[in-house]
Amino acid sequence: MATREAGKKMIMLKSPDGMEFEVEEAVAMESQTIRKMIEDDCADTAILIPNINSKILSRVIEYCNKHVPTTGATGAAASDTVAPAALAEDLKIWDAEFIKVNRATRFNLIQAASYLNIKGLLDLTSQTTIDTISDNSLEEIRSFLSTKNDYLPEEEQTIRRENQWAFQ
Amino acid sequence: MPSSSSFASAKAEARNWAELPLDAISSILHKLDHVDILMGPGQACRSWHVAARDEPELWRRISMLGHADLSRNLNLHGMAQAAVRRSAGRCEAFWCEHAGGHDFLLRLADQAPSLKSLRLISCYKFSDEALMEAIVKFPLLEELELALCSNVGESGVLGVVGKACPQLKSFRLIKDVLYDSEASDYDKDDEAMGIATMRGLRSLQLFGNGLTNKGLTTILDNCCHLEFLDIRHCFNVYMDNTLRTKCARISTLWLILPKLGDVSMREQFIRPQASDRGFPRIISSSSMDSRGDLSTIENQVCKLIDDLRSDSIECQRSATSEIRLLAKHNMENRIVIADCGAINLLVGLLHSPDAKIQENAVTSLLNLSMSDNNKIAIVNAYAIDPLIHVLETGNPEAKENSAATLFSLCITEENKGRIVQADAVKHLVKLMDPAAGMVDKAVAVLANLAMIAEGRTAIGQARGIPALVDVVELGSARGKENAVAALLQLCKNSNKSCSIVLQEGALPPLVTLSRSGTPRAREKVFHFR
Repeated sequence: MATREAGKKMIMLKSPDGMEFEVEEAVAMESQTIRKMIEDDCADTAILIPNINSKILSRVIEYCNKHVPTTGATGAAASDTVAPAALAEDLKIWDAEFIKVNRATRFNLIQAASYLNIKGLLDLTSQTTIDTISDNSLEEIRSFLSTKNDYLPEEEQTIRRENQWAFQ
Repeated sequence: MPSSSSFASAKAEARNWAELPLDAISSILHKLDHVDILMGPGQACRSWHVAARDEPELWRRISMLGHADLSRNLNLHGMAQAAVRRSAGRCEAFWCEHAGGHDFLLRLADQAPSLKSLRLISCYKFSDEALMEAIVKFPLLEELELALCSNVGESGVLGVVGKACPQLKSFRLIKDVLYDSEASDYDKDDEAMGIATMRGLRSLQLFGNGLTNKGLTTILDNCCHLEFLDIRHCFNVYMDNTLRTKCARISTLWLILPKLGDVSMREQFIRPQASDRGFPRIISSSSMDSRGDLSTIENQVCKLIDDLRSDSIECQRSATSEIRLLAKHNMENRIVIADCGAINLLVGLLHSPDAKIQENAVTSLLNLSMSDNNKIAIVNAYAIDPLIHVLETGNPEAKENSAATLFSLCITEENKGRIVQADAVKHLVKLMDPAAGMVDKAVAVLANLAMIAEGRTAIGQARGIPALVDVVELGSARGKENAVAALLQLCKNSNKSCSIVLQEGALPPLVTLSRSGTPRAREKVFHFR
C-alpha cells in the first residue's frame, strides 16, 4: 500500500471486492462525485466506491493520475517546463493507448466514468465507442452492444410510426 | 488482488450495453451526428431509444448536413421533423439539406421559437410565401443561410426577413449558377434591397447573385456593421472607385475567387490586410503578383469563349485547342477560364459531331477539373451524361480523357453521389469489357464510387461484381489493385455482395494476388480476412 507523501493530502478509495487504493486528494477530485463527497465532509477515513471492481478502479485512478492538472497540488514547477500544446499532444497519445481495451473493459470504464462523473474519461470512452459503431448497420450495432431488439409489439408499432423516414 | 477479476470481465463481456446508465448513453449519443442517431444507435433497443428520444438537450443544435447521398433512399424530411419534435421547443440551431418543405418550415416555426441559427441547403420544396410566414416566428434568429434553395429569394421576401429578425448578424445566400438575365425584366437588385434592411449584419455572403453596383451600394450604406463581405461570382458588380471607397471599412472582402473547394467556406477566412491606398486587400485571384498578366489572359479567354459560341467548326476547333493548352499547367488560368463561363460551353461541345472538337473539349474539362472549385462547377453544369457520351463514342484519346475527368471529379465527396445519380455506373461497368480497352480507367472510377452507399448499390444492380472479379483475375496490376479495393468496400458493407463475390470465384485470384500483387493490392487483400 502506498505510503503517505509529505505535504499532500491522501484519500483512501475502497472497491467492493476489498481492495484499497490510497491516492492524492487532487487525483481523487478529478471525479466530481468524489469531490462532492470530500467537500461535504462525508469522507473521513475511506470512501467505498460501489459497483466498480478493483481492476477497473485502478485503471480509473491511472487515468486521473495522468490527467490531474500539473500545477497546484502536485507542485508548481512541473507545467512550466512543458509547452501546453505538447502536453495536450502527449495526453492524446496517452489516451489512445489507454483506451486500447476490450469491449467489456470499455463498458465498465464508461459505467465508472459516468458514476464517478469524470468528464474527460466519459468523453474518451464515448468517442471510442462511436468510432467503433458508426457506419454500421442497426443489426451490427445491436450485436456490438450485445443488446437485441427488445421492443414490445405495440412499442414497435409506435416506433414505426415515429420512424417513418426509414420507409421512403 | 482478488482472483475474481477475470471472471468478472468474462461476465461483463456478455453484458448488455442497454444497461448503461442513461447519462452514459446520452454522452455517447452526443458524439453522433443527428442523422446517425436517428438511423443507428437511437433505434438499437429500448433504453437507447429512450435516451435518444427524451433528451431535448441532445437536439438543441440539430445538424443534418453531409448526408446528401442518402437523400434518395431516405426520407430526410421525416427525419428532420422527428429531430425538431425531440428538441421539445429548445432547438436553437437547425441545419439541414435536401429536406424541409413548406409545411415543415411552418412546423419548425411553431416548435422552435428560440431558434438562433437556420441553415437550409438544397431545400427546393418551399417557396417565398412559406419563408415569409415562418420567419416572423424566429425573432431571435442570428444566422440564416439559404443555399441552393432555388425557390426563394424574390418578391421582397428578404425585406420581410430583415424586419422580422432584428438580431440577424450573418446572412448567406448561395445560388446555383448566375443566370444572365439581361433580357428579362427581373430586377437584379430586388434581393439586395431586401438585404439592405438587415441592419445588424456583420457578415454577408452572396454567391452567384445578380446584384449590381446599385444594390451593393444600398447594402453598404444601410448595413453599417458589415465586417465580412463575400460577393464571389456576382458578375454584375464592377469594382469602381466609388465602390472601393465604400468597401474600405470591410475588413474581409471576397471578390471572384480565393482558392476554395466548396461553398461552405467555414475555415477559410482571409486575414484583413490594408493596402497602401487604405483599401482593404481585394482578392481577385489566388496570387496578387500576376494581376497584370491575368487581365490579359481574361481578355484572351473572353475572345476564345466567343469563338466557342461561333458556328464555324474551324473557330471551335482552334478555340477548344487553345483553351486546352491554357488550362494545361496553370492553376490561375483554370480559375479564370471557369470564371469566364467556359465550362457550360465546353460541356455543350462534348456532343460535337467533330471528333477533334470533342477531344479538345473533354481534355479542357479534364485540365480544368484539377482545380477543386471547378470540380463542383463541372458537375453543376450537367457534365456527367455528356462525358459518358464521349466514353462511348469518342476517339481513343477522348475516351481516355473522359474517364480521367470522371475520375478527377469523383475525388470530391459530394460529386460521388451526383455521378452515381447520373447513372454513370452502368456505363462504367460496360466499359470493363476488355474489348473496350478502358478497363483500368473504369475500375479506378468505380473503386472511388464504391466508397459511398449509393455507389455500391448501383454497382450491385449493374452486375458490376462479376466484372470486378474478372479484373482481379485477368486485369493489369493497377486494375487488380483498384478492383480489389472496390470489392473490399462492397463486401465490408453488405453480406449479400460478399456472397456474390464468393460465388463468382474471387477467392483463387485473391489468393494469387496476396502472394504476387502490388504492395497496395496485397494490403487490400489482407483486409478481406
